[in-house]
Amino acid sequence: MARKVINTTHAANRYDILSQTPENYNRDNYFLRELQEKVNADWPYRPNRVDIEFENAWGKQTYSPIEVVIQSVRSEKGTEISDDYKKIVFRDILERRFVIGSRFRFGDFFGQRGVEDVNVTDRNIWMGINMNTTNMTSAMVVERCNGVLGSIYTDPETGLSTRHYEPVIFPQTLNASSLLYRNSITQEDADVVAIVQTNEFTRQYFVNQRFILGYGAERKQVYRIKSIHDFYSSITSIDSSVEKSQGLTRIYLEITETDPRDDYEHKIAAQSVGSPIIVDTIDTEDKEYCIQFSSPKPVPAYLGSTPITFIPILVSGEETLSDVPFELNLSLANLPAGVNLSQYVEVEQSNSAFIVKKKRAYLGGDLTMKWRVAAAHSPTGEQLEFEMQLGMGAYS
Amino acid sequence: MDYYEYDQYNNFNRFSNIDGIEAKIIEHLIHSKTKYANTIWQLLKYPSKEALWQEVPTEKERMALVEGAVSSLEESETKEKRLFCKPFSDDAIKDECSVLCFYIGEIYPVDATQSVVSLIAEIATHNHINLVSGEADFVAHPEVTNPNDYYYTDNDVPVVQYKSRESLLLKCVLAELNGLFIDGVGYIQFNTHQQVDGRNVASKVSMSVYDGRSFFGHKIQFNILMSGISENPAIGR
Repeated sequence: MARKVINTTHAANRYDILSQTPENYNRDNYFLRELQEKVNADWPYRPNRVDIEFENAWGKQTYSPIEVVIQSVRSEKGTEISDDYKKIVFRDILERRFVIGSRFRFGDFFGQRGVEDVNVTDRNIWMGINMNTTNMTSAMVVERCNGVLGSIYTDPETGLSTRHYEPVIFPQTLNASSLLYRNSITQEDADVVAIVQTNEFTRQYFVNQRFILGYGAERKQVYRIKSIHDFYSSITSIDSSVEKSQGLTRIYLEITETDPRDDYEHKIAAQSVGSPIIVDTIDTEDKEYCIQFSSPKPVPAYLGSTPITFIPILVSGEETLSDVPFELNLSLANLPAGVNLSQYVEVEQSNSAFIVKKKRAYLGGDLTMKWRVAAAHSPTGEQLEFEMQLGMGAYS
Repeated sequence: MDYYEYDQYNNFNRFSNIDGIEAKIIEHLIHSKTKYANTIWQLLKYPSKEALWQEVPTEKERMALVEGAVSSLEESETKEKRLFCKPFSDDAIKDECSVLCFYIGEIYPVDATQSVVSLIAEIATHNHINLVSGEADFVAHPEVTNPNDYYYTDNDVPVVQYKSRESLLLKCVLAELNGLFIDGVGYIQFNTHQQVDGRNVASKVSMSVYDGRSFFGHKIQFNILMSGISENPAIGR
């Protein structure tokens, strides 16, 4: 009878030689070492070996290449379940980088679209939903993310907001709630389930948060969160830090009414709380430019009774372009013709600073600030324009 | 009381024009250019916080908001309707909006020739959009400004900064319709008190419109004294 092979050389106490699963992952274990050598030897001959990308920082959606074997997932009876599920086999049998919730990016290898037609960012993102951590070899079942959840992410440091799109799995099978289940008609609940990675963005989701899903933009359809189940962690731990709480979050949504501020173009639904300042970045062929403010920090969403000193800076990636002169143009929404804007708001400019002062509350809408870099001073040689809105009323 | 035959009883309390009340009120609202009518239409058409700063809807735009109205305007699907002659419409709740509904509530016969007909106006507003900015300040619209006793330190002239959309709608519906004379029906009144069979039949406003989800609103009960005696069995088709 074959016995387990246990290296007792460095065993400090008897717990080190407990014959429990998981397997003894000691690299000196000659069986494992030889298994790795066998995998390495077989690796070049495996037919379904492909280069894919893995998310190299949790939640950041930046990807690095990795070579893996991709297999289809089969049920116990041997039938393929769905091509939305794949099994990724790693070459390193002790692969430790990936846990449930890890994301991979790969597109159609032999599919309808040729590789040259597919933009890298258009490729599908797949999320780990099952990982056998006690097998001798390392593999993970991933499910294709079939949608995105768009939300606003506010940088606490700058006060400026960006649009964030989180890959999400909307499960296709309806299980017990499907129409013909058990041959009797059960009414399908209109709830939507969404599965996302638990990360710094999805941890900010809140009950009643509103989302535009899928083709909802065309249909003008908005969903709101009914409940969030974010306790599915990849490890058993009470540590709730972002690093430790890697796993999956399950979100239940229901359909809700549309808001006049819903942004269908960008698929970002309005929230009933908060008033984020979104400034679009300008993409040129090789660089992207955005505006930031060295003052105030963070930028407030409202112009209150105290004047605000704005010092705009032009930023390209991580790099700050100094000495770029800005011009500021103000306008008020719904201001009747013939009424002068200067009765409500006033700007004083000294060097690169713009002191914006509210002279009287304005109820008709937001203050639009257009920051402009003239073509003569622009790094691209063309005029750059950034637009943002500030509230002007006492209540907003 | 003498004994009557069917022919006689059948002549009493015929309410021959009761079936046109809602349409006549809606027609009135479409054509009315009073401040209150304008505000009602602004609130129905614009769900934004700055609704009162938007253009007053034209007659064509008003028509487009009425249930069933045929309009040449684009975007007049059922879900964009805001004015109904039924208690509530689930078509409208696709959007965060305000809706107005007219319908006949109860009828209390006083005697053989007179009845109190209660006309119900229901208004409902989505809770997300209830806050609207005040319609004016002394600079932009000095003619309609609502002065405010409270002194805002950052403001030269204190004005009402925000209002409850629902309260505003309530005020405007009452102001626009109370005392309105409808052909063949009578005066719509928000004041009638009648003792009928010991019951107090009174006009009232109650906040009873609530869909248990996102909308809330008021039910306004107007009373109309109606009669209608007819010996013509064909009347009131």
